[in-house]
Amino acid sequence: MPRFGIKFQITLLSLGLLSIPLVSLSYWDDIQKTALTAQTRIQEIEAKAIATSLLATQQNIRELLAGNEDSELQKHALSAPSIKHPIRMDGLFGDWPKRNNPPPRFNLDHPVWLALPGTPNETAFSLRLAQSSQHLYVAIDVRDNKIVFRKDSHLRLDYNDHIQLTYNDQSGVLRRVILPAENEGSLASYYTDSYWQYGQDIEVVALGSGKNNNIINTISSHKTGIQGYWHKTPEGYAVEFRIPTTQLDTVQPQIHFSIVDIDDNPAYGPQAIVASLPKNLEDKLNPVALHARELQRVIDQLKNTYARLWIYDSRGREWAFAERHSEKQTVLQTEYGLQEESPSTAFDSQCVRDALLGRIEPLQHIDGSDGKLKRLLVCYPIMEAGETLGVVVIDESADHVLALEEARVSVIAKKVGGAIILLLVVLFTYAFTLVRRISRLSQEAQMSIDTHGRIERTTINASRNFPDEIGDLSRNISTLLEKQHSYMSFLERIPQTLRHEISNPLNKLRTSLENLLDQKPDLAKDQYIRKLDAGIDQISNITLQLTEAASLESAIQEEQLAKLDLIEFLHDYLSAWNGQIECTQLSNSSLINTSQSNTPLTGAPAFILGDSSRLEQLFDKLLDNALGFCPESGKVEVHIERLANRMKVIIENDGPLLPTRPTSEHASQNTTELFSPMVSTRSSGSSIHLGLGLHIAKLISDQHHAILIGKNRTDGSGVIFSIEFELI
Amino acid sequence: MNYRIIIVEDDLDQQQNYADALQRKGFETQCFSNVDEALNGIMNNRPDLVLLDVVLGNDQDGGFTICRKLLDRGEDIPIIFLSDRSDEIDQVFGLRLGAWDYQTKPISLALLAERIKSLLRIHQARSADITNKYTAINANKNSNTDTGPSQDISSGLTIDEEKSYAAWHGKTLPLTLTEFRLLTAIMKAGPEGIDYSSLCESTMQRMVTNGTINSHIKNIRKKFNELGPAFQSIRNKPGFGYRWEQV
Repeated sequence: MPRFGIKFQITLLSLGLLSIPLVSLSYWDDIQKTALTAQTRIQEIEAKAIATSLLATQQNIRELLAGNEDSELQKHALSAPSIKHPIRMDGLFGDWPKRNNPPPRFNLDHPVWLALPGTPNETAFSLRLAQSSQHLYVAIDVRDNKIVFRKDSHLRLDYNDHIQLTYNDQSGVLRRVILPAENEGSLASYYTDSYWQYGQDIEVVALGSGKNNNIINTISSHKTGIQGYWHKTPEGYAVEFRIPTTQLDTVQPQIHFSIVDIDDNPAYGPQAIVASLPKNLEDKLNPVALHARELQRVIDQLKNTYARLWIYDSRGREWAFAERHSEKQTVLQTEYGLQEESPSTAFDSQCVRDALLGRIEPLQHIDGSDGKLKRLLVCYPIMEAGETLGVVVIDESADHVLALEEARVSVIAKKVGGAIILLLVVLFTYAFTLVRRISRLSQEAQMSIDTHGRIERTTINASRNFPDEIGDLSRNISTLLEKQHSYMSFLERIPQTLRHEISNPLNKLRTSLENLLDQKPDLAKDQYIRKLDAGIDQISNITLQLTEAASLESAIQEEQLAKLDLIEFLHDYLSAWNGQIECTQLSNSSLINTSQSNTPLTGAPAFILGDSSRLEQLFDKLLDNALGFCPESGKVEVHIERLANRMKVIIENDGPLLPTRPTSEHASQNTTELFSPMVSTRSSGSSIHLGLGLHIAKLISDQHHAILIGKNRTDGSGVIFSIEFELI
Repeated sequence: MNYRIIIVEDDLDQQQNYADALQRKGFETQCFSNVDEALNGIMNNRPDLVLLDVVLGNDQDGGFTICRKLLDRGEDIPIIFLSDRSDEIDQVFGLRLGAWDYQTKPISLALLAERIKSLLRIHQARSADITNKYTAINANKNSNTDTGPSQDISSGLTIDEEKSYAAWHGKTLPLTLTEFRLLTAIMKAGPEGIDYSSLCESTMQRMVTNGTINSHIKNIRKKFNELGPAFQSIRNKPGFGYRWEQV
């Protein structure tokens, strides 16, 4: 039967614990879906709350979002989406946020002015706006086949290609700035007047400490606060600049651009002027949606909660924007490899369009190119009196939500994993402790009994003091061993006890009989007296055997073994036996044959450590036993086998077999019983067998560290006793 | 003059049997069954020899007690233990106490009488002249002589059969009577050896086995070796008996 140890069993069972995280992992998809659905729902509630809050708290919400511009002007409103990172002022537009729709392009479809009306002119420009919390960024890409730069000798600013910028400052005052084409590099800008010819200093009113104590500051014409870059392009030139939002009106922000194309003769004036508004609106400025501070404050409170939040008006102008703090993103990116998309605007999405149509609780999951959910975009309309004023948009990265969820699950998984590992360690430790305790108990139990079944010690120390079942087992084994030892001691004392108990009455009989015969010599011939005498002799013989057995064990412990030639010993010994049989006729028909089939008894010396008289006693017992059980027609054979470093002496006899247990696989398994004292396993008629002969033989063989085995012949014709000595 | 024997035996039947047998052999006997009575009897009327059972009633070592007290008082009385305690340790203990012999039951009354006579003769001889010079004779040349002093000069062994005295390189060998008889028999047999049955007869005991002989020989060798150089003259003839070999 294959071994299936406790350690293996517990290892197998422990592996079952690993199924817990595996099963949990299979629920991960469900957890993800649930998390995203919950997140969508939260965003929706949040958006609704913001929309409701704006309507409740912002008295001028309608004014802010709906505006009072006429509908024609609103068609030309400029969008300035928020940007996350500052834009480098280098005349290159690669770092501008990408948009779904191309930037508005202005050309001669509505020219303000042409030098030669009716003639074709290529002048056109595209305009991009973006805003951060501090600046309004402007990118103008001008198509101009002939660029005229400002000459150093020109004081006038309008004798060259230039851009006219008009806006309302924070006080609502109209400001004009001219951006001349001077050269590749930093952009020059100058305040100017309505003639757009020279630089003009401006006056700015600053609030004083007291009433009517306002201070008027004069600002030089070139200190416009505009930073930018002028860059020549294959088709014309590009201008990239930024204006501090503090210089702009954020309640009704308006701005206007005009590209003035100067060609061959500047003195003749511009070749063409292209503006950001058509001619019929030439006295107007383009509305631009700069972040409204009132609305910005509302969503700024949530900027760390979501990836991005927007508030748009119904025309798509962005009135407020907030996004998660970049530092927090960095942590997520570092820990979870999260790369959030950075859409510049959400206004183009279907979600916003649906919201503007008044559809309540719209939501949209945007799948990425890999089919996985990337963003959660929730748009909620800001509605008043059935009119949609704007929309609140909350955008969140699905990866971010999942990363947070994963972080939470990961913490739980780590704790569960740690607990499982701890449990496994505890289980394994416990298993190993149990196994070690059981092994030690088993080892001690085995060591408490020698190879012949004699109890060497009765106390099992392993787990003795443990208050559990193994401790109980240890104590029970000790108790069993003590009881068995007592019983064995009783058995071992039987010969001595019998001898003591028999000798006195026997002596009484013997001496009485002797006295009787001494007094009446004629009784010596009486058959009953002779039988009585023989009986007493028989009992005396028994007590002698008992004495011999009882004293042998202690006697051999003190005896020293000496080097002895086993071949010479056997030769002398068997010679004496043969002579004795012939002379004394101990057995008429039994013969001792010293078989030489394997090794001649007169071979090379075979030295062992031994005691010749004890060996003699040993072989006496074995030969007595063999002859005693050999039938009249039988034969007793003695032969030896030389092994590598051992020698085996084999004594075989015909006759009755040793009893074997039905369950025994090998006949030698009953050796312990066979060599026990007071055990006679074979019947031999009238001879008395106390079972001490083989016991004595066993004791002597043990003294010589020899192996004594008794077994039946395979053909069932007799018995074989072999004793195997170790040669030196 | 009749020798007077004191028998100390708690079993009255055995006590009576010993006494009857010895009286028929011409000995005077006096019997006791416990330690105190025995010691008083011995002190009041000093015997020539004492037969002691070891176990006296409930006193498991009563015989040993009597022996020790007698020898403590300097009494030079031959003592024979007759006991059912056959363990070697008991025999060694009894002999070391100073007993001349230790016989285990059952015993032969006839042989017991012979042993008593022999011991008394030896005791008498030793008492008469313990300083006599022993006549050296070669053991092999006198193998047929039953009595008289003999000496194996070459091996360093001195033997006086009459006094049952043996010495090894001038030092007295503390042999029991049985051991002395066995040593003498083997020495007389010489290199040819003597078989077990003859050795059994020489012990003057009724039931003796080869194992008993072997035990005695071991004791003899041990006593030789305790006195000095390694003694190797007694050689075993496996399955036959022992032989004497001059080294």
